[in-house]
Amino acid sequence: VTRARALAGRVTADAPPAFYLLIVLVVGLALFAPGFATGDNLSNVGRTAAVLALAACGQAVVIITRGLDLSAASTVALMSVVVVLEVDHGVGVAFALGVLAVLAVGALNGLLVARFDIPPFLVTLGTLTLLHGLAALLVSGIPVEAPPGGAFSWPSNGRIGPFSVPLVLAIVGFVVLGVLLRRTTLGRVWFLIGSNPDAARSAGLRVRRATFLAYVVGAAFVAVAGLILTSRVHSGQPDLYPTLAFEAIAACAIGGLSLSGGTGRVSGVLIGVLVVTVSANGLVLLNVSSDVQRIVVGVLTVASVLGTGARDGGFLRSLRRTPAATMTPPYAAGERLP
Amino acid sequence: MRHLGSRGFVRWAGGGVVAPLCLIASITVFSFISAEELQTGNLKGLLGQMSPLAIIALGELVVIITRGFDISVGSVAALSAVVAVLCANAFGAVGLVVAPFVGLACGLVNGVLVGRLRVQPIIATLGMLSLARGLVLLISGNEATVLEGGNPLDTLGYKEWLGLPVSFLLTVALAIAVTVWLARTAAGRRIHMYGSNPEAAELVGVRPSRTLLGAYAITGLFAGIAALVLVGRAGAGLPTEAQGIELAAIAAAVIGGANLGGGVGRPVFVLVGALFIQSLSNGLTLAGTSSFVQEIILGAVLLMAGLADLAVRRVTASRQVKEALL
Repeated sequence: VTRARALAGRVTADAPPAFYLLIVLVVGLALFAPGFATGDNLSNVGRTAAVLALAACGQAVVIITRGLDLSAASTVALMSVVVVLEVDHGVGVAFALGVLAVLAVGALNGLLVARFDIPPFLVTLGTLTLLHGLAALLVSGIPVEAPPGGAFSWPSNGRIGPFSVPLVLAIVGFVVLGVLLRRTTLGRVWFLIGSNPDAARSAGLRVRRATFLAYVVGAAFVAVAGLILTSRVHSGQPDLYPTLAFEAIAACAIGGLSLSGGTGRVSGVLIGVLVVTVSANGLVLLNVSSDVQRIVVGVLTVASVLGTGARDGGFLRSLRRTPAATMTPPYAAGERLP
Repeated sequence: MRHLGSRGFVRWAGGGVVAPLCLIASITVFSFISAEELQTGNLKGLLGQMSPLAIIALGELVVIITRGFDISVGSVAALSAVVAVLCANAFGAVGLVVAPFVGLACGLVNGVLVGRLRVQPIIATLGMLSLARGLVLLISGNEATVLEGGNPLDTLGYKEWLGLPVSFLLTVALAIAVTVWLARTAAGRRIHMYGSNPEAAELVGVRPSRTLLGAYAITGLFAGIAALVLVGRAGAGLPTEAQGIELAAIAAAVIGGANLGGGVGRPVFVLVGALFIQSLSNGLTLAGTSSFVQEIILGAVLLMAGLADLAVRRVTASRQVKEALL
C-alpha cells in the first residue's frame, strides 16, 4: 500500500493540471453522456486521437527547442495530394513519396530556422501559405479521389492483432518520442537549446544541426499522421485538416509544455491530446452545437495553461520570470531610444 | 548624425525596404500582363479593398513590437461586425459604435492573459480565436446578419472623398495616429522599450503587465474598427468574415519590416505591405490566375522577408561594431 501511495504521489506531484481535468472529463462523461463509456465509442476516440497524437509529438519536439511549426496542416494536405497523384505507381511507392515530401518540408523549415536564424513563426507561416497554394494548385483546388483498394485504407482501417493500426502507430510514436527525449544525446541537446540557446552554443553543442534535426524529426511524426489521414479520407485534399497545427499546439500547451521551450514530457503530450479529443467527443455525444464546442475548447486551452502557471509558483513567481512572449532568441534590435 | 546614405536608409527603414520593392515589382509585372492594372479605377479599388487588412495589420504591428502576436483578430473583427449590426438593428444606426468597443473588450482579455497572467501570446489569442468565432457563429445562427433599413456605413464602404476611398483615408489617419503614438508618447515608447529588451525595460520602470495590456487592447480596438469597414462594404455582419486574415495581417507587418523578435516596426511600411498583398490578389485575379498561385507567391515572399531581415541585421550589426570601435 505504501508503495502504491508513493507511486501515486510521484504521479500527481508533477502531473499537469490537465491530468485532473482529464479525470473529471472522463468520469463526468461516463456518468452523464449516453454512449460515452462503450467500447465502440472509446475505440473511435482512440482512432481520432491517433492523428492528433502524432502531430502533437512532432510539435512537441519543435516546441522543446523553443520553436513552433504552423505548417503541419498544409504539410499533411500536400502529402495527401502527392499520394493520390502518384498512386498509379503502386500504393506503397505513393505513400513513400508522400512521406518524402513531408520530410523535405521539414528540412526546408529546419534549414531556414537553424541556418538563417529566421523566427520559426515566420518560417512556418511562410511554408503554411506556400504549401497550401502548391497542394491546391496540383489538384486545381478540387479533392481527388483515390482508386478503391484495400492497401490504401489499411493505415486507417486495418488491424494488428486486436488493435487498430492508427492506435498502434500512435503508441509507437509516443514510445519513440519518449526514447528520443530521455535516452538520446540529441534529445538532451534539444532540451538545452530550449532552456538556454546561448549556453548551449557556449558549451560547444552543435545547436544549428540539432535545431535542423528537430524540424526533420517533427516532420517525420507529422508524416505518419498524414499517412493515417490520407488513408482515412481516401483522397487528396488541399483542405485536409486546416486546424491540425493549432490543435497540436493547444494539446502540447494543455499537457504542460512551455512554449518558451526547454520543458516537456511525453505523458503531458498524451494527456493534452486526450483532453482535446475526449472533450470534443463528449460535446458531440451531448449534442452540443459545434459553435459551443469551439468556445469550450478555447476556454479549456487557456484554463489549462493558466493552471500550469499557477502550479509552477503562481503569480508572484510568474511576475519575476522572464516574459513569456519570448518566442525567438532575442537579438540586438536596431532601434534607438530617445 | 543623420546623413542618409544608402546604409542610413536601410537602417532607418530596416526590413521595411522589402515592402515597397515587392509592391513596385507586383504592379510592374501586372501592368504588363493586364492593361486594366494601371487604370485609376483599379488602383482606387485596390486602396479601398486593402483597408480592413491594413487596419488590422496596424494593430498587429503594435503587439509584434512587444514580441507577441495576436491570431484572434479575424474572429474578433467578425464578432464586432455581427454584434454591431445586431445593435444597429435594435437601437438604430448609433448601435454601430459598439464595434470598436467589442474589439477593445476582446483585446483587453488578451492583454490580461498575456500581460498579467503570463500566458504565451499564441495560446491566449488561440483561445480567443476559438471563443470569438464560436460566439459569433452562435449569436448569428451561422447566417449573415443584414443591416435593416439601408446601410449607414456605405460612405465608409464605397464613397470617395478628395478622389480617394473614404476607407483608405481612415486607414491613413489611423496609420498616422499609430506612428505618432509609438514615436512621441510615453506609452508608445514603453511599447518599443519593452519589445527591444523586456528585462532592461522592467529595470527602468516599465511595467510589463500594463504595457502588454495596452498593446493588446489597441490590437483589439483596431480589429473592431476594421469591422466597421467590413460592415460598410458588405452591408451586413458575416459570421465567417475575416477568416485567416490574422495570418495575412502578420504577413503584411513582417513584409513591412516588423521584426517578430520585437522592438522594430514602422506603420507606413506596414501599409505598403498590406497594399502589396492586396495588389497580388487583385492582379492575379485580373490576370485570370487561380488564387493558389497567390498563396505560393505570398509564402515565398514571407520567407524572402525573413531572409531580407537577416541581411539588414548584418548591415546594421557591422555598422554598430564600427561605431563601437571608433
